[in-house]
This record gives sequence, C-alpha cells and structure tokens, in this order.
Amino acid sequence: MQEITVDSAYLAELRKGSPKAFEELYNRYFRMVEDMVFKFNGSTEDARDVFQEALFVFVKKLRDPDFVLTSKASTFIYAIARNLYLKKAGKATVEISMDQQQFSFFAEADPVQGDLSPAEKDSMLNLMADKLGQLEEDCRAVITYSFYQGLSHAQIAELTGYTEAFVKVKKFRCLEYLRKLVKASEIFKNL
Amino acid sequence: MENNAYINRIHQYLSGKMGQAEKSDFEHEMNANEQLANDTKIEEKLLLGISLVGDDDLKKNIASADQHLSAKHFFETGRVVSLQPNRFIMKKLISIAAAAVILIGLVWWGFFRQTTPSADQLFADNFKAEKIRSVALADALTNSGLVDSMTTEDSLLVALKFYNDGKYNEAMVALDTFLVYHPANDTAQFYLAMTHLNESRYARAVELLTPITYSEVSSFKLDAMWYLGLCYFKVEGGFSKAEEIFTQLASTPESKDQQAAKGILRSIGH
Repeated sequence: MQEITVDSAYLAELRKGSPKAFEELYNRYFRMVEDMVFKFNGSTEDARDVFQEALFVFVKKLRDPDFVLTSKASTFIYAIARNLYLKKAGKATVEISMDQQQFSFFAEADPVQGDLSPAEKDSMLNLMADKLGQLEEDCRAVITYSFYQGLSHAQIAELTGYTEAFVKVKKFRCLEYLRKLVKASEIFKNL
Repeated sequence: MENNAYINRIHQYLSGKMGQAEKSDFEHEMNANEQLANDTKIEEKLLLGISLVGDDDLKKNIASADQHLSAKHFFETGRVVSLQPNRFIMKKLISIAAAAVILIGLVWWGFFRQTTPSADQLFADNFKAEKIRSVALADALTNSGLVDSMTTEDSLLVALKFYNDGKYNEAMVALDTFLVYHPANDTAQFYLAMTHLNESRYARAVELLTPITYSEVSSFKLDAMWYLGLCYFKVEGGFSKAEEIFTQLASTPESKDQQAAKGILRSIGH
C-alpha cells in the first residue's frame, strides 16, 4: 500500500476538505478497510459507511492543533475504522490495541453534541448554516479556520494571505457579526 | 461584548485551556456576574453551532468524494478506478489459483504422469537386442563358406556369433578388429553399435549409429534410426532428438518399426 507522506501540503488539502484529497484517501486506504469489513462478513456498503466515519475522525484529528500523528495514516485509519465497525456491528468489545492516546478519541466520532437533543441539534445546525451562509466568504473562512479548525493566527494568515494582525481583528469582527445574526433568532434564544 | 479580550477569555474557558486556578476564578466570577454567565452561554452555543456546521460540511465533503467515486464505479466489483489491488480478493484469488495448481499437479502426477512413461521407461519398453537379422546374417555367412576360424576377414561371422550368444564384449573385440580392415562395413558398424547398446554404453552407440542413419545405401539405415532413437532416450538432453527420429520413422512405411514409433509418439503425447 502506498503510504501517505504526511506533508504539510497534503494535510492542508485535507484540512480544507478538498474532495481530491479525500479521493486520494479512498484510493489508498478504502480497500484495506473493505477487507476488514469483509472479514467480519460485512458488505461494501458497510465499508463505505465506516470509511466515511473513519475519514471524518481522521480529518478532525488532523485539524486539531494539539494532535500529532505518530503512526502511519493507514494504521490510524484502519484502527478507527475497525473500532467503529466493531462497535457499530456489535461484533465484540471495542478493541484499542495500539497507541492508546492516538486512538482514545475513536468513540467520539461525532463528539459535537453538547447537551442538545437530536432535534435541537438539527435546529442549531440549520440556523448556524443559514447565518454563516449570510457572511462574506472570507469571513466565513476565517471563522471556520479559527473556531472550528482551531488554527492559529499565523496558520490562518498563511492560508488567507492576510497579516496575522489583520486575522486577529477580522476573526472577532466576523464573529461579532455572526453573533448579532444568531442572537436575533428565536430559535437561538430557545436553545 | 465589544472587548476581544473579554470574548477571548470566555473562549479560553469553554475550550478548557484555562489552568485550574484561572478556571475556578472564572466560575466564581460567573456566579457573581450574570452578564458574564449569559455571555458565556451565548458563546458556548455560538461555538457549538460553528462546530456543528463544520462537522456537517466535513461529512458532506467526504460523502461527496464517496459519491463521486461511486459514479466512477469505484465500489463495484470490477473496481475500475482502484489504484490498488484488493488484498482480500487478491488473497482469495491466489488461494484459488494455488489450490488449482495443486489439484492440477495431483491430477498430472496421479494420472498424466502414470500414462506418460519416462525416457527410461520408453527405452526399457522398446529396446530389444536385434537378433533376427544377426542370426540370419551369421547363417548366410556360414552358408557362403566362411569358417569359424579366427582370421581377420572371417571375424565378422565370429563376432555375429558372439553377439547372438549375448557375448557382447567378445563380439566388440571381433567387430573392432573386422572394422580395421573393413572400415566401411555398415553391418559390422551396426552390430558394434548394438554391442555397446547392450552394454549400456549409449553415447558410443550414438556415435556409431548416427553415420548409418545418414547413409543413402545402407540396409541398416532404418534399423539404425530405431536404435538411435532409443539411445537418445538414455542420453542426457536427447529426448527431443529421440522424438524427432521417431517422428521420421512414424512416417516411413518401409520401416518395420513404423507402428512402434507411432506408439512411442502417442505415449509421449503426440
């Protein structure tokens, strides 16, 4: 299997959510995960589901500034996928046989729940998607980089071409604008 | 909420990046300051909402890549777009191929091999010391007035008698002596080859038989071909030459060994 060299250019593409970067992950690692699912009598459809979830976790972790990938990407993705699949299929006790710290988050494939019920979560999601959609593209990007991906001002400056000082000002200005938009919403008030 | 430092402090608290003491101070402050508590709740919801949208976008992007690949038949059995072989299927195919090879090997060993004799077996099955002509020749020589004396010229008869009696070493000496005086005598050369053949000296037999097979006039030509073919079964690397000779004989109706040659060819899969 051709191993992904975790170079900054590729990681930047993954962090940005580039479809081509995801397709590259599919080309390199999907068969590996599919093999694993087959071994547990799963189907290609099961493999597709679990691979999507594994990529979600993988990319979220890559976006975490405190996260350092110490294993091969293939090892990481396989471990996530295997544990997710075993858990999902109720096959066995979830196994975490490798670096505990690297994989300790695996069960949190969808950690952003807060105290919200699924219905409230949907309401919040729709509201925020709507309000973020009302922002200028550069504003939306800075908010996402900063408050979702947790990038530093320097990293955002590198991605956007702004100065760090401007990024710092812009992120609070954009957030302020977003805050005003959502605070006016009854849905937001009731959540 | 105008102050970035104020917002930044709330975010520090919400992201768990405060130290224990700082966190404790902040919580005391929230208890005493309703505005700070409300602003913290708003920021919590705001950041949660941003995360939800970010997660949703990420999932959509991954799903989009999945759908795009699906449209390119990536997930179908044929795996048109796959850049890598499926190890699971490859392993299965290799296992099946290995099993097939073993099965074919067993079939070959158990059936085909049994019906395809080895070169040694082919020689053993077909070699029989030529005696019919040698006996007839000895009779003919005796009837023509040659006597059983040990003169050089008469040694052919003596040699043939030794040969017919299975005394191959004596026959060899007599034939060698005869050939000193009659080097072109194909009868002596043929039976000298036969003595070597009967004594399992196949290479020497080949040397002696080969010139006879090229002869345009020798009456031993076809017999020499037959025995030369058998000799080649016993010579290393001679199997293909044997095949070639028996193929010629099989298409030579004048050879008394034509049918036998065909039989050999059939037995080796021709």
